[in-house]
Amino acid sequence: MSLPKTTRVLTVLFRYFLLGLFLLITFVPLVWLGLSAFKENSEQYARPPVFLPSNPQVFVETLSLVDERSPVSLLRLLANSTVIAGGTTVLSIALGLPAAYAITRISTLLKGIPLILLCFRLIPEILILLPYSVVVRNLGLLDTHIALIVVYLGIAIPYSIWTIQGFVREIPEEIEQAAMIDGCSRLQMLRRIVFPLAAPGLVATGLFNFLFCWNEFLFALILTRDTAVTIPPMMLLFMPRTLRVGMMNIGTAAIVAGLSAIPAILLTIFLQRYLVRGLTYGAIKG
Amino acid sequence: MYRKKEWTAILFSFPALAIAFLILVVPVFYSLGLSFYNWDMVRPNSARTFIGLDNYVELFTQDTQFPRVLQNTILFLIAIVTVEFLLGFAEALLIFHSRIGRGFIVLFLLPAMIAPSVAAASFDFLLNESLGPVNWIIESLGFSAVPWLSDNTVAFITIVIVDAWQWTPYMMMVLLAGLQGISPELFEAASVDGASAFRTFTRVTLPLMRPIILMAILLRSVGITKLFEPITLLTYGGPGNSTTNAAFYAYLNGFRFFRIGYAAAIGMVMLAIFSVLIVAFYKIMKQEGRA
Repeated sequence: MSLPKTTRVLTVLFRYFLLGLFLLITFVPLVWLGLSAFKENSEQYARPPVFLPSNPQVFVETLSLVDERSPVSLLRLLANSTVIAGGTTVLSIALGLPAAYAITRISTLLKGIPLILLCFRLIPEILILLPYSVVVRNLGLLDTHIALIVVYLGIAIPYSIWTIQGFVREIPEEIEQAAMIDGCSRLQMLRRIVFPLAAPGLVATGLFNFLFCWNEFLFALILTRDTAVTIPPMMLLFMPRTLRVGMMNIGTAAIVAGLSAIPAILLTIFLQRYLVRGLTYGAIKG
Repeated sequence: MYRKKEWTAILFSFPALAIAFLILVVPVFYSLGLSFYNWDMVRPNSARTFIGLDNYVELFTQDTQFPRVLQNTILFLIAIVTVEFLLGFAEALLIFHSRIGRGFIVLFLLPAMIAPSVAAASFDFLLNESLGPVNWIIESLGFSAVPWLSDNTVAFITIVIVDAWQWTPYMMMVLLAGLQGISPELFEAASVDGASAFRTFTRVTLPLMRPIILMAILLRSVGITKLFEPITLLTYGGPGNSTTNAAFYAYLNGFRFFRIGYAAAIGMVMLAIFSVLIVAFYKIMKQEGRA
C-alpha cells in the first residue's frame, strides 16, 4: 500500500502486457492456420509474409483439392470422427457412472480401484497397440469404427470413473438415505437421483472423453485405413513434407486441420462452464 | 446386508472394470510375452520364434540408438515439465490477479483442446526454415535464420516449444484452481502484516500450493511420456535420432520395421521406467492423505 501510485499503475499495466503476450502467443498459430486455408498457394510462403489472403474464394478450389486427395469424402471423415468420439463418450459415461457410483457409495471393497485405474494411464500405448492390432486384424475388424471405439473405451473408462466418483461424492448422502427409506432400489437411485445430480459433472467428463477420441492420433493411424479413418491421422497425409513437390499446398493441410480444430474449439466454448471443473478435477480432489 | 451391498457394487462396476482390464491389463501381459519372441511381421504369416531375453540384450548392448533414445525421453520430460511449470505458474498468477483474465479463461485454454497433430501442423507452417514467417521476422531483425528442424539441438527445442504451446494452459489451469483454493484471508493477513509480494509468494502461496504443484507436475509428466505427434509430424525423430523418444522409437520398430517382439521389449522398458513415476505418484498421493 505504501507504493507510490504511479508504481502501482505501472505494475498493473505490466501485468496486462504480459497477459496480452500470453494471449498473442496462444492465438498466432491458430490464426495463421485459419488464414492459410484462404490463401493462394503463392501467398502461403511469400516473403515478406502475406498476412491477409488477397483472394479468399480460392478456399473452394483448395477444398476440392483436399477432397481429391483424401481417401474418403470430407463428410465421411467428419462422420467417422463424430461416430467414434460420440459412441465412445456415450458408452464410457453409461458404463462409468454406475461403476463410479458403486465404488464411492455402495462398496467398501472397491474403494482402492480409482487410484489403480489412474495409474493405468502410465501404460505405454505401444504395449496395448501391438497385441490389440494383431487381435483386430485376426478378427477382420481392421479399419472399422468398432475397433477404435473399443480401444478408446479402455482408455476413457478409467478416466471417467476417476472424475465421476468426485462428482458423485459431492451429492449429499442424506438425499440417498431419504430415498432408501422410501424404498428406492439402487438402480432407481442411480437413475432418479445420482444421474440428474451428477449431470454437470457428466457433461464435463463427456466433453473430455469426446475431445480425447476426436484428437487421438496413434491408435487411429494404426487401426484405420480409409473406411473408418478419423481426422487426426489425415494430417500426416497432408503435411508439406509428405506431399510431392509441385503438389505442396499448405492450404489443403490447413483445411484438414480446421476440420479437426473448429468442432473442438466450438464444443469447448459452448461447454466452457463445465470445462474448468472437469479439467482440474483429478488434480484438486479425489 | 454387507454381502449384498458388495455384490450390487460388483454388478454395477463389472462392465466398466472388465473393459478396462481387457483393453489395458491383458495386452500388457501379452506384450510381455511377445517381448521374448523374435517376430518380424514383414510377411503376413511369418513365424515367431522364442528367443528368451535376446530382445532386451540387443536393446541394451547392441542397439546403438537406444541409449540416445532413453536420454531424449528423459531430457524431454525434464525440459518440457520445467518450461510448462514455470510459464504455467506465471500465467496462473497473472490470470488470478486479473478479473478480465478470469472472464476469458477459455481463450487461454484452447491449445489444450485441439489435436496435437493440428498443433504440430500449424507450427510446421510457421517455422518453415527458408520460407516461414517466423524466420522472415528473425531475419528482418538482422539475425540469421533459425534451423528450427534441421539442427539437432534446435529441433529438440522446437519440439519442446510446440508441446509447451499446447500444454502450458493445462498446467496453468490446475495451478490456477490451486490458487483459487487458498483462502483470501491468508493473503489479507500477510498484507496487513506488511509482507512484500515476494514474501507472500514464498511464505504463503508456495507452501499452500505444494500438493497441487506436485499433482500438476505428475499429471503433465504422464502426458509427456506419450509425446508422439509433434515428433512424427515435424521431425520424424530427426535430424538423425536427436528427437526420437521411446514412444516414437517403439512405434518405428513395431509399425514401420514390423519388429513386433523388439517393439514390445522397448514398451516393457518404458513401462519399467515409468513405473518409477507411478510409485512416486502413489507415495505423494498417500502423503497428502488422499489415497
